[in-house]
Amino acid sequence: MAELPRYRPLGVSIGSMPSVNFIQTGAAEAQVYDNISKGLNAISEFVYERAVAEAEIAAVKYGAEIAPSVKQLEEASRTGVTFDPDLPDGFTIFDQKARKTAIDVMQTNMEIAARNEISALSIEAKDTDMSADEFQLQLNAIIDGYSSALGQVNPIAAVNLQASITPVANSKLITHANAMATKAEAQEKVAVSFGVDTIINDIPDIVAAGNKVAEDETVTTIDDSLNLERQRIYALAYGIEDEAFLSRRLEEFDKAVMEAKGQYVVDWIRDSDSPLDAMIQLTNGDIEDENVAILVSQMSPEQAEFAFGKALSALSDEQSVIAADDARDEKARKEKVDGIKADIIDARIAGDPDAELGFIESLREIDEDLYSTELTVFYSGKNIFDNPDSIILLDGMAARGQLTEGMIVQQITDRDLSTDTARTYYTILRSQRDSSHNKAMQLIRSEFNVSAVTGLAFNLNDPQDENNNQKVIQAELELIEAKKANADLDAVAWAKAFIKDSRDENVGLAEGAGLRIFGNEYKKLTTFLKRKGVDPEDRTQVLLALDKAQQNGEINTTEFSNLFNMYDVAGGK
Amino acid sequence: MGAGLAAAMASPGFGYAVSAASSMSQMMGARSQARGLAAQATMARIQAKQESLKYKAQGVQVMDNILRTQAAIVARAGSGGIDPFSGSALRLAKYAAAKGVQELYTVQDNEIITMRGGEMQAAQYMQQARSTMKAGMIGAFTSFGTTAYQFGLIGGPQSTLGTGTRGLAD
Repeated sequence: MAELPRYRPLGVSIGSMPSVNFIQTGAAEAQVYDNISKGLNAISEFVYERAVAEAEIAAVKYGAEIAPSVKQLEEASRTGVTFDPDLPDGFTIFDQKARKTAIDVMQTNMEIAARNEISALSIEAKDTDMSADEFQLQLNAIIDGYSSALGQVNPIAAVNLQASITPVANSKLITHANAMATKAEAQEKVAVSFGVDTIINDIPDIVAAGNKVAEDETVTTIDDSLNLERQRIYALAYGIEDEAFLSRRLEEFDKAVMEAKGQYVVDWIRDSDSPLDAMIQLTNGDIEDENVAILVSQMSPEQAEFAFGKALSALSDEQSVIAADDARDEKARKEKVDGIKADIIDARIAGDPDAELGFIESLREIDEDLYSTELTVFYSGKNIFDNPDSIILLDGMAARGQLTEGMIVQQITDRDLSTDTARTYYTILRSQRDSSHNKAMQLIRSEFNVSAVTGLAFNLNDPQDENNNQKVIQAELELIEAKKANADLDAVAWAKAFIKDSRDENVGLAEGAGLRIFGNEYKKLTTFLKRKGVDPEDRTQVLLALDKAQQNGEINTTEFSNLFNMYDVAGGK
Repeated sequence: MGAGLAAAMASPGFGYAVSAASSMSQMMGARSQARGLAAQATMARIQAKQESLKYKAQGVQVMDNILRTQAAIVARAGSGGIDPFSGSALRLAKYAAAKGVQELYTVQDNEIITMRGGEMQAAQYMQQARSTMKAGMIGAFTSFGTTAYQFGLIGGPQSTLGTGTRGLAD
């Protein structure tokens, strides 16, 4: 049989599926977003950091502002006000930072306040001698007060505060305790020293008491008593443990013993009827006074030598005192005589014979020779003639400022000087008591080459010397007159003006010697005349000008009188 | 101008905005990843289907082979004068059918396995996509929340607070 046709498969097969990875695509896309997110996160982080930084700055400022000040803390401590700070207590960065800052500031302020209080307390403790225990209690009160107050806010800060204040307080406590100990030691030393002083001060009494005889006739010698006192110094000084002090005070005690014994002997010599005899007894060792004899017999060689030397010195001093008293009396007598002599001169110048005689009489008791001389002058009568040689001599001495009363008296008693001329010399002599006058005259003497001499060194017959002497004397008399007219006159200024004028050959009337004595008034007058255009040489014009000025009210009555008198006195023409 | 900008940038509001944008970007990234995974799940299903079609074609070939074998037995038996529907011919025909069906069942099982395997793969991708999306969302919200919280923690002065004299009560 023929084989039948049948369908033959073409061999079509299922195609393979291409592999597509969607995950990688999604991951790549996600990576892009992740990068974007990272960038934004970086920005966010930056913004966060900046915001935190700004918040912290603001928090620090705020915290510092809200913290109580040192003054407030001190006031609160002083008045006992309850400390109740209201600080931010949130958990934000700002609150935490502000709180921390406030606590830090409070800690610092409290430390300052506590230190201030501790310093004040230290001063008070020092001033009041507060005991170390009391001082410590008060220091602890300060530390505990501040630290407990801060502890309510922040215990750690309180511990830190305590840690910072405590060393200061300890230091102050140690210093104060040491100071108190030193003071106590010093006080102890003072007390001991006072006790030793008392012992030493009692030594003269023990020495003066002499040997003591008890009822059982036991004799306690002076040295026994002194030795007991010396032992007491040991006992007193035991507490202060200062060997140098003990050694020094024992040395003082020994010296005081020596001094007391010596002084007892000296007093015996001074009080005896004949100190010299007593001294001889002491020298010979044959002393009549029983107590002194016992005392001397108990002296060591060193003490005996000291007592003998002291006795000699005392005798010598006594003689010196007597001599000094005599010198003082003599000085007082001379001062009194000088005063009476000045009074006599004033009375002679004033022409008051009763007063003069009275002063002379007062010399009788204190200077017999001078009394006799002055009495001779008084009764020598009124001389009317001057001896030219005497005048030249007195002028020369007066011009040099070396005139003495003795010179004047001598010329009067020799009848070489008239009473009137003598009065002039007395006037010059009296004016020379004024120091400003003397300074002014020194300038004038220098201007005219008149210098002080020893003895009669100037030439009595030299016309130039005589001329210069006359100029100086004339100037001195003018100065005396000027002083009379104006007690407040500056003598030195006057002398300078005089010298200036004396150098000017063309001195007019208004600038003449007479006008200088008025000082300021002279200046006023010359200014006035110059302003009015008045010739100072013309008296009539001057007087008319003054009269007119008074009528016009330019000068008052007193000024007119002063200016007119000055012009008149000065010798206006 | 520069200082003003710097001050504005340093403000918490700007920080919030930037942080929100960052979180949004984070979510977008997660969504992209999830979308990729979802697409990959679809791809897995298609690949499984394609593999199952291959097994289906193989089954057809198995059935063709059975028919061809039985036809050959019938034809060879008829030409040889043997009754093809009885005796040895019939037992050969049945044997061929039994072997072919056994092979067909194996192919059908392979098809089912392939389809189920693709489904499972796709389901895994989808689960991964959902997790990625969820993680992205949570991460974004967490990130923004953390940032917002941090900015909130910066704080500032309260208007009720005084200055200077506080701290001491009578």
